[in-house]
Amino acid sequence: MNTGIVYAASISALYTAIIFLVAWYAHHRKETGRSIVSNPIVYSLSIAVYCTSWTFYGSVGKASTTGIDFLMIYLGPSLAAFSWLFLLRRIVKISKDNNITSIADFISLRYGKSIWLGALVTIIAVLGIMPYIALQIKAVSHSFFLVSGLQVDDIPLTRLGTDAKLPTGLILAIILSIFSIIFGARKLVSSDRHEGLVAAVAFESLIKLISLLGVGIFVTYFLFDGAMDIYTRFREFDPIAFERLFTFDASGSSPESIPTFTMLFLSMGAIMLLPRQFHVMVIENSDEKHISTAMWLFPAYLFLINLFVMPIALGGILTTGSNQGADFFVINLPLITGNIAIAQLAFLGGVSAAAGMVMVESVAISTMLLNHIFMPAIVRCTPRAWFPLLLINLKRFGIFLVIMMGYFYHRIVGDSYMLVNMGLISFSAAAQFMPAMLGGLYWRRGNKAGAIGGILLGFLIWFYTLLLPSFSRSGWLPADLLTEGPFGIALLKPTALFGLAGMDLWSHSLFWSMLFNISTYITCSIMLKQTDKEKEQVLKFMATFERERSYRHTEQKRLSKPVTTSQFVTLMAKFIGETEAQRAISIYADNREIDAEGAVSEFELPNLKRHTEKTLAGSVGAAAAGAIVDSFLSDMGSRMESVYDIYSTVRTSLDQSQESLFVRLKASEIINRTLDLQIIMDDLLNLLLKEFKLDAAIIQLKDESGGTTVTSYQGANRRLINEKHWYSESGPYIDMVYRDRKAHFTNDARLAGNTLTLERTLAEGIISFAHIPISREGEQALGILSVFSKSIAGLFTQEFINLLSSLCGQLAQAITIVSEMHAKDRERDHKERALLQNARVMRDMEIAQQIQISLLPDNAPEIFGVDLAGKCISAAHVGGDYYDFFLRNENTVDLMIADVSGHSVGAALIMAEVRTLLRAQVNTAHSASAILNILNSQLHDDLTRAELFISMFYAKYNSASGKLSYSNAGHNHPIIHRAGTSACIELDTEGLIIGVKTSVIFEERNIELASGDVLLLYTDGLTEAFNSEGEMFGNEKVCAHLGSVAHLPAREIIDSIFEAVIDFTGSRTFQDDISLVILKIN
Amino acid sequence: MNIKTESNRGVIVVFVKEERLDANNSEELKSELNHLFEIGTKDVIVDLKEVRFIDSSGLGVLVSGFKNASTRQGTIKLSGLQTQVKSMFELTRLHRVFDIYATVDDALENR
Amino acid sequence: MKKKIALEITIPNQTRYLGLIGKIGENMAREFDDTVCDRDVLASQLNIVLTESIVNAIKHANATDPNKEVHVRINVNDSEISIHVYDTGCGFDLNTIPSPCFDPGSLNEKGRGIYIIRSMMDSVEYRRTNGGNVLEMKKSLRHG
Repeated sequence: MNTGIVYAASISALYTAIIFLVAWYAHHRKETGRSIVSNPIVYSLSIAVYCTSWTFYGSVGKASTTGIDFLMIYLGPSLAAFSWLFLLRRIVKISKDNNITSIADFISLRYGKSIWLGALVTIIAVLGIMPYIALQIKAVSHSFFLVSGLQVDDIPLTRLGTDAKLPTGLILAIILSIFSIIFGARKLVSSDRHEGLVAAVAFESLIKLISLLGVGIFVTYFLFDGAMDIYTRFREFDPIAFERLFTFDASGSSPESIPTFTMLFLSMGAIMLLPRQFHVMVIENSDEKHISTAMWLFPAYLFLINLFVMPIALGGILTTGSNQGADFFVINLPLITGNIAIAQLAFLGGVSAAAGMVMVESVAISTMLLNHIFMPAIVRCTPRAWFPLLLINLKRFGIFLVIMMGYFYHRIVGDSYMLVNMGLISFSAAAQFMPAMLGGLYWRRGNKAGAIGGILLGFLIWFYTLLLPSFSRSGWLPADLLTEGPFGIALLKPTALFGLAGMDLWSHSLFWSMLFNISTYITCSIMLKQTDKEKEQVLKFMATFERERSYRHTEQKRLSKPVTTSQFVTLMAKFIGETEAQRAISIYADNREIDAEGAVSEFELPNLKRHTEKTLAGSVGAAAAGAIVDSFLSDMGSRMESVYDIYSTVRTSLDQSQESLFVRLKASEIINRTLDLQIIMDDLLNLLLKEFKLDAAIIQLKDESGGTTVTSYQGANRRLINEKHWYSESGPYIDMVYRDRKAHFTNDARLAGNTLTLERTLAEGIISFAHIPISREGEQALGILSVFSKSIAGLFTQEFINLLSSLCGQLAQAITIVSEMHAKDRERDHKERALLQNARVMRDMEIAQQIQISLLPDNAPEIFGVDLAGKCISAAHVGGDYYDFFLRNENTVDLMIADVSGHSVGAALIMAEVRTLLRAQVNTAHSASAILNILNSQLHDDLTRAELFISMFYAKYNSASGKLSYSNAGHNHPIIHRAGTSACIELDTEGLIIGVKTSVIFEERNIELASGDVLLLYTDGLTEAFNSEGEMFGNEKVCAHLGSVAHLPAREIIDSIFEAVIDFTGSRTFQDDISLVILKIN
Repeated sequence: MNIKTESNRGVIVVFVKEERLDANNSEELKSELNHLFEIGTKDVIVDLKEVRFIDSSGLGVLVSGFKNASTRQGTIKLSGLQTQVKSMFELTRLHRVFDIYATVDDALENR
Repeated sequence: MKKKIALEITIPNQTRYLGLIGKIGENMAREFDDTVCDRDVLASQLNIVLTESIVNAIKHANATDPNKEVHVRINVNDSEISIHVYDTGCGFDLNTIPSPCFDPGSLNEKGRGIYIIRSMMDSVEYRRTNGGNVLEMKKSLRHG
């Protein structure tokens, strides 16, 4: 019974449309940023692409022939799932970091981006997967016949009036190709996720699960009364077969049976290594967290899908009477029992299983074909504008090619072998990748030679022991090849290589291929060395995880000639198109410093180069991307070269090598040894010269006026630094350093370009140099350290600059400390000097005071009828007052009072001079005004020179006549208190103070004094004494007080006045000297 | 110190405009003379017309100037010595060492 | 009338006061009549002697140390002028100063001070006192 071709075809078409819609919807959702695919359930379902039509049909077939052994194929992946936590996560992380596009890309990247390895893996994948795709096509077309009732392979188109026959398999292949191209090759970027494809695959996984469960339930509960019923009946039907089927057969007693271990091993490898599995699990992974869900969800899926395999198989045998055609029990049982709907469901499940596999597989393999077979050829050509178009179409062609190859394989080989064996052939091929893959992840020494050798040998043996026999059995090759061996050499029999007979085909092939594969891989890896490129990649693979443990990558490469960002963009655009290129560079630019001209720091260039490679790798694979960028660089005249290793020994993975630590240690010794900056700088420069083989090193420091001075210059060939010295050409760089507060360096002065003149520098033989600011973190530079090398281009690595900067930081600290110390010293000296100066001034004033006091007369002369007294009270350290009396004869006494404007020694000495001058006049009969005149003319020059003035009152009193004649040179007016009156008389005459003009006319006046009259001469310290309120003592108080004490003797009057001043000011010390002279007439 | 320097017919005349030439200010005259000879001056006249007083330090400075001039084949002449100053030269016999003129003009004429 | 003038002055160890001290010396000489001696000559002699002796104290005995001081005592009476210049330094040896037979006309820039003092005063002595040294110079006055 069947549905007829039209019905079957329309069901198929409808189903295809649904899947297309699902895929389209998912794609649309992704475009609008609301992915439905990015979740752990879809991820797990997409991994279930593992279950192909082989699972769908073949499991039942295998279960009915070899029993529960079929479970091994699912037990393997379930066990392998435990390893995903570390293994798959690691692979996914590396792949995301490196824009991996396929398993071939992954393996080739690990082994130094080897083009050959990529190609080899691709070829193995194509050859190994071809039978598998063929299997799918065969399964679908066969099931289609079963469902539609046709008994031939081709659909006759007689109804359309032609003899042509339409091959069903071909139609299927074309439909799948279109589907795959639409959802798998929309864009060139293969490292991007294909959400439409994933959605379709996940949906199909769901359908095939439902379908198989449906058939199982139908068989178990509708045809029979549950599983127990089937088992019971089967035991009755064929007890021997029952025993056999329910026993794990480890011995491999029949050629068809496969030992448990072999099955486990192959399936464990296949779940990760089949190109489509790698694709869905790694490339299509959107979130590492999904892996942990898939770890239990995927095995659960496998459990469910296999739940009814045994009941269906046994039910099939019971129903049909034998295990003939057991591969299609799933579809046949409903058909035989007349349940078309169930058969349709089963058919759709089968189609789903096959389509999902073919689509993913073809996309994965076409990517590999493009990147590892086509690209290496294309890369040799000059990139053209139409390259992106060519590449995408090549990729589409690849998909078509892969599916078609599968189709033709199916047409040629298809019928000769059991379905399940075709799958295993693929599994065995994929298993060849395992050593290189696992070794690459966990064994640092694994190298390219080992990987290529191992895979190649493993593949050859796989081909010889597995593929050849499969050809042979389909009659393509003479059968005696299997029985007699090639050229009759029994040792080389493909099924019993080197005489190893008695093993099943699979175990035999697996044994030899793995033996050769693994041993070659290990031997070559141990014997041969890794190239630099490989080492770099190893570091990347290992570093992906070690980086999280505070690993810092040290740049060991530099570009010999700088390349700009835009040049990289142009390059990328040639392969992936302008839009993608711009997008890639904007991702790169996001958190990096790029200036307006698109120039990046020299240290960034290797990163930019890697980013370009990574971006290109996402489309053309790592190996081709590397080749593209390398050829581009060589066209530019640039290349990657090893940075000069400033440290002679092998660096550790720590960011500080031993040498770096040593230099830092030495530097801090130098800095801490002395406070002499010159020694520090000289020693530091010599340390740098010695340790890093530099040729010249210069330190210039800013001075206080803002200019700069070269303070230390070390190295051979030193010359006076003037504007003709080559160092002066560094001026623009140094200005930049001061401005930017960061190091500027040129790793190859010969390529520095025309903007800055370096003629003399180059003539000196200098090829690389660096200028580093001497500054503390975040502060203005105190100066610049400049270092020059004549021998090494590329000397200045990030690491070296960091070291130099750190030394400069230490130096800046030292400079700051020393200059602060000098400033303190200076301040202290200044203070000391000021104190000393002050002390000297005080001393001078004391001396002046001493002189003054020594000048004052000890006792007033005694003269009849006159009571004379004088007293001076000095203020602290002040001296300038002077009074004196001279007895001229028995009746005449001269009295004077004076005040010199300064309080210095000079002033005091001038007073001494006054005194000597006055003494010299004692014998003369000069009048008061004449004496003032003499003093003025004698003292004028000295006073002018010393910038001093003297105010003086001079009086002569004749006790006989009672006449007082007096003259005043600008002094305070003395006052007379007449006995019996209260008012005071002020004595005033015209006259300028002494020392202003050479000739002055001093007026002279006379006044008669009577008994009881009191004359007071005073200095301004008396009247200008002030109290705490700022009030002056003043003339009135003086006069009033004088009146109140006029009756006392002269000495007591003076004391009383002083008391009054002390009372008034509230202090016993005065602000200024106060001198008082009293002449009282008795 | 108040010193005025004039150039007259190839001869530098240094007028010491101080009343005293003593230990307090003679160093300034010394450095002025040193400077003059250093810049290549050959013949110098020091006019002491205003100097009323000279002490041994002042004399010493003039002697130093004389020796300085001699080693450079130059001359140093003095003019305008007041009585007291002249007596100091005589006391120390230095009037025999220096060419002493009454006025600057006299000194200039006797070249 | 019998004259007796005494003046005691302490000055800092600086040459800037030489002029004033000299002036004081000159003024003191003018206390005398011309009958006793030539006042003007005496004045200039006192000026020069005070100047030279104080310079000597400042520069040689006190070694130009600005923290030291010089004390001067001048006594004048009808028959004698005596000048005492006290220094607080380590002093000097009067005998290392060129002897009276030294040729004053030689071109030595230094060493005339003491010669000048000696030529103007009757006696010159230099001796240690408490806390320093004193240069004692005396000149007797002719009585007319």
